[in-house]
Amino acid sequence: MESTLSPSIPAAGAAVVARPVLALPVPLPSFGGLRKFAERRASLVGALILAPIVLLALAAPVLPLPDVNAPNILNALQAPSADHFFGTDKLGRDIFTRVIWGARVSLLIGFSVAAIAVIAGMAIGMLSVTLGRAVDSAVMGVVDLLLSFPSLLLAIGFVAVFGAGVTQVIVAIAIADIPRAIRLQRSLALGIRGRSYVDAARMFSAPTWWIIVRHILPNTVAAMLVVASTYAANAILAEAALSFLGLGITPPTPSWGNIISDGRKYLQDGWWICAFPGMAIVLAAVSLHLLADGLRHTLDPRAEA
Amino acid sequence: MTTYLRRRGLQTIPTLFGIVTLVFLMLRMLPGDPAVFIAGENAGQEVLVNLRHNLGLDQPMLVQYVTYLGRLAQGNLGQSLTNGKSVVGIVQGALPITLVVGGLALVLSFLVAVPLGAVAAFTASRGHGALDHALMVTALVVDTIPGFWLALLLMLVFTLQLGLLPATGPLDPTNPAAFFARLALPVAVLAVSQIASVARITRTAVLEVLHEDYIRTARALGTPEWSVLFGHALRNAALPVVTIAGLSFGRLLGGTVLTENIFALPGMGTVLVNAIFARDYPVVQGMILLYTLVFVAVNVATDLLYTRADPRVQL
Amino acid sequence: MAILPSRRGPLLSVRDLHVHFMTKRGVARAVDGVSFDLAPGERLAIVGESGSGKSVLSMSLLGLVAHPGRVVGGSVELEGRDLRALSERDLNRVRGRDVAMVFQDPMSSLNPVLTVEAQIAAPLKRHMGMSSTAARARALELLEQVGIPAPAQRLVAYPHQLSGGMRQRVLLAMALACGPRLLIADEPTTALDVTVQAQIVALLSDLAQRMHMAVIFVTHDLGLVARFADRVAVMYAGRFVETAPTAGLFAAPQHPYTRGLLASIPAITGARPDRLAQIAGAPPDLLAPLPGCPFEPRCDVGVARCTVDRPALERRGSGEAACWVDLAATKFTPAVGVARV
Repeated sequence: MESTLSPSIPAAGAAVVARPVLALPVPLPSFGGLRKFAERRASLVGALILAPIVLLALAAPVLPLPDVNAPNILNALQAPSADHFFGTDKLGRDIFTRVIWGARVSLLIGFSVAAIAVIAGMAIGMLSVTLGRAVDSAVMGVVDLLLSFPSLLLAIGFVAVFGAGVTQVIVAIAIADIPRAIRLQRSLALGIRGRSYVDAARMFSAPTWWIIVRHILPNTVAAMLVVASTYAANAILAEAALSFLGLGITPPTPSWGNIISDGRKYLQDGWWICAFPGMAIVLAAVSLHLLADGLRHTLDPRAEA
Repeated sequence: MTTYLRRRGLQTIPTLFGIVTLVFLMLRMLPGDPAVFIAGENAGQEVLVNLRHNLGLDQPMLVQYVTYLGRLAQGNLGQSLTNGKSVVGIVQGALPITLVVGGLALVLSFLVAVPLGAVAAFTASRGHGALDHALMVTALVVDTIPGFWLALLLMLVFTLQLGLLPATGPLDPTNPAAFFARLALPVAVLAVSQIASVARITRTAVLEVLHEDYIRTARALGTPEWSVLFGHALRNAALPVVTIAGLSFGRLLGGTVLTENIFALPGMGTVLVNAIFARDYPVVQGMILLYTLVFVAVNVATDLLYTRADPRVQL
Repeated sequence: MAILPSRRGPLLSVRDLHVHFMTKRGVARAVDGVSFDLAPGERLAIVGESGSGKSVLSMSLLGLVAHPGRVVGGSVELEGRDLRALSERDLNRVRGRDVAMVFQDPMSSLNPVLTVEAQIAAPLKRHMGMSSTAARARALELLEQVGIPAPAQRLVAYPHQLSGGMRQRVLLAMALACGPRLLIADEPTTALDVTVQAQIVALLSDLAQRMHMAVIFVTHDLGLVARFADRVAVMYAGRFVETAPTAGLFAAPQHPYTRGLLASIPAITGARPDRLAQIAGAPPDLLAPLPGCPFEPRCDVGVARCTVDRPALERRGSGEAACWVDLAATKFTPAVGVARV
C-alpha cells in the first residue's frame, strides 16, 4: 500500500483502539461489550422500542389481522376503538394493520439503505485509499459533488428519472448516503494506516489485502455500524418523504409515508390516518438514533466522559 | 475579499459543471426513448418526431451536449413542455418564495435554538445535568419528526380546528399581516426541523468554549454570568454555529419541497415536484440547476460569515 | 516581620478554607483547611507541585472554582468583608476591581475573537463606568505601563497577532486596569521563555510597588519566588506545610518537603552537581488521604507518629511548619545562587 496521501484525522466517534499486532481483532462487541451496551440506558431504550416494531413487521403475515388492502366501505373512517386500534381509512381498511405492513416496507428500505451505503462505502473507500492518488482524487471529486446537494433533492431527482418502487427508492436514498460512508471509511482507514501495528505488519512484508482484511476493516466496522444505524433512521424518514410526495412507494403497497399521504385528504374527518403512521416513523427513527448513541459509547471507549 | 471571491468562483466551476453534466445526462440515461417517456406510451408518431426534434434528441449526443452548454451560457434554459413558458421566467417566479420561506425559517430556528443550546451547555457545565439531559432528549425526538407530518398536524390544529391560520390562499406581500399569517405554518414547520440540530451543535460548541481559559479570565474580571454566556461563550462558539447555519439552509431547501407542496406555496419545490409529475424535463433541469446555484451561494456566504465570526480565519 | 498584619488590619484574611471536588471516584480535598493573612502591599508566594491545590486555592479566593469543585467551608475576608457571603452580583463588583487575577497560559487566557482594546476596556467600563473614549485612553496608558511598544497599534490587534510575552503583558494590563489592591497571579510566567519570565516578574514587582498592591504569586518555581516574594507558603496535599519570610525559608527550611524543593533547584552559578536532587515518590492521592502526615510516604526524616497523626502548623525558625520533627537540629545547605542577594 503506497502512502501517497497525508494521513487525515479520523472522524470523531471513530471506534479504533490501538492493539498489538498479534492480538485478535475484535470487530464486534464482545460479551463484556454487550453488557456495557445494555448498561447504556440509551441503547437499551432504543432496542426496547425497535424490537417490537421489527417483530410485528416480521410476523405481519401470520398475525390475526384483517386483510391489509381489502376495502370495507361500511367501516370507513372509524375513529380508533377496541376493534380498530388506529381507526380505519376512507376505504374502511384497518390503519393498525396498514401501519404494521407499512413497517415491513419502511424497515426493509431503512435497513437495505444502511447495508448498501455501508458496504459500498467501505469497499469504495478502501479502493480509494489503496489504488493511489489518481483514483482517490477522482472518487473524492464525485463524493464532494454528490455531497454538495441536499440528499432529499438527490433522491427526488433519481426517482424522477427511474420511477417509483421499492428498489428505486432504496437506490435513490442510498446514493446520498454512500458518499458520506466513503468519506468516513476513507478517513478511518487513513488514520489506522498510520498506526504502528500496521507499520509492523508491513515490516513483515504483509500483502496489502492482508493488511486491509486483518487490520483496517475490522477496526472500521465498529464506526460504520454506528453510522449504519443513523443511515437507517434517515432512510426511513426519506422514504416517508418520497412516498408522501407520491414519488416513492405507490399504493396499494402500504408504507408509512404513503399512508400519511392517503390520509392527508381526510385530515378533518380522520386525523388518525395521518397521526399513527407518523408516530411509527418517529418511534422507529428515535430508537435507531438511540441505538447508534449506545453503540458509539460501547464501541469507542474514548467517548466515555 | 475580491481575490477570495474570484478564487471561490473558480472552485465552484467544477461543481457546477458536474451538476450541469449530470442534469444533461439525466434525460439521456432514461431506459428507452425519452420522447416516449415524456409524451406517454400512446403518443402518435408525429408528436414523438416533433418532440425529439424540439429536444434535439435526433442529434448526436456530443452535438446535443455542446448545444445544451451553449444555450446555458446564454442563460437559456429552454421552455416548459406543458405551458411553453420560458424556464428562466418560471424560475424567477418561484425563487423568491422559497428564499423568503427558507430564510424566515432559518432565522426563527436560530432565534430559538441558539439560546436553548447555550442554556443547555451552561447547565451542563454547572453539573445540573437534568435540564441539559431533558433538552437533549427532546432535541433527539424533535429531530426525527417528519416535517410533512408535523405540517399536517399543525394544519389540523391551527387551520381546521382553531381556524387561526390559513393553509392555502394567495400570497400577497402588499398585505403584511395576511402575508405572514399565510407563511406562519410553513415557516414554523421548517424551523422546527432545524431547531434540534442547531441546538445540539450550539450546546457542544458553547460547552467547549466554557472550558476555555479566557472564560475564566472574563469571570475573574467580574463579568456577569449572562455576559459570559451570551457575550463571550456564544461569540466564540459562532464558528461552528455559522457552519451549521450553512448546512441548515441546505437542509431547509430540501424541506421546502415538501412544505411548499403541503401548503400550496408556488415556490421552487412545488414547481419541481409538479414538473416531475408532468415529465416537464426542461423545468426539472432548470430547477435542479437553480438549487445548485443557491447551494453554492449559501456556501460562499457561510465562508464570508466565518471572517466575521473569527478574526483568525483569513480567506 | 511581614507576617504580622499592619496596624490597619490585614487586607485579606483566609480562615480554614476547604475546597472539595466531587468526582465520580469520591471527594477530593483539593484545599483542606488553609488559613493566612495578607497585609496591604505584601507579596506572598504560594509554592507547590502540580496537584498540591495551589491553583484551586487561588481560584477559590474569588469564588471561581469550577464545577465539580466547591468551596465547602471557611471564610475569605477582604478588608473585613466576607467574600463567601456575597451574592454573585456583589462578588462580580469585587472581581477585577478590588482583586484581580492573571493566569498561567497567556496563549489561551485572552479571548481570540476580541481586540486587545475591547478586552482591556471591558472591566473599565463595567467597574469604573467609563465611556468608550475614556476607556480607550486608559487602555493606551495601561499598555504603556506594562511596557508594550507601539501601544496604539496593539490596541486594535487580536491576541493571535501578539507574542506570548506581549499577551501576558496585556493580561496584566487587564488585571491592573481598575487599580486593584490585590493581584492573584497564578503561575503567570510558566508558559513563557526564561528571559521573558524574568522580564514579567520584574515588571510585576515594579508595578506592585508603585501601585502599593498586594500580590499572591502562585508558582512551582522557587527560583522566581526568591526574587519576588516577602513571604512564602509551601503547599502540599491541600494544606500549607510551611510558611516563612522568604529569606528565612531559603536559609533554614523547616519542613522536609521544603528542603526537598530547595534541593531540587538547579544552581545558576557555582559548581553544578552531577545530578539534581529529586523528591522520591508521587504527589499524594487526594481521594484517599492518609491518616497521618500526607508527606510521610516520601519523607526521609519521619518518625512513628507521622503515620498516625497529622501535624498542624507550629512556630518553627522564622515562620511556621507542620512537621513532627524539628528540623532545626538537622543540617541544611541552601542551594547556591538562588537565595536573595
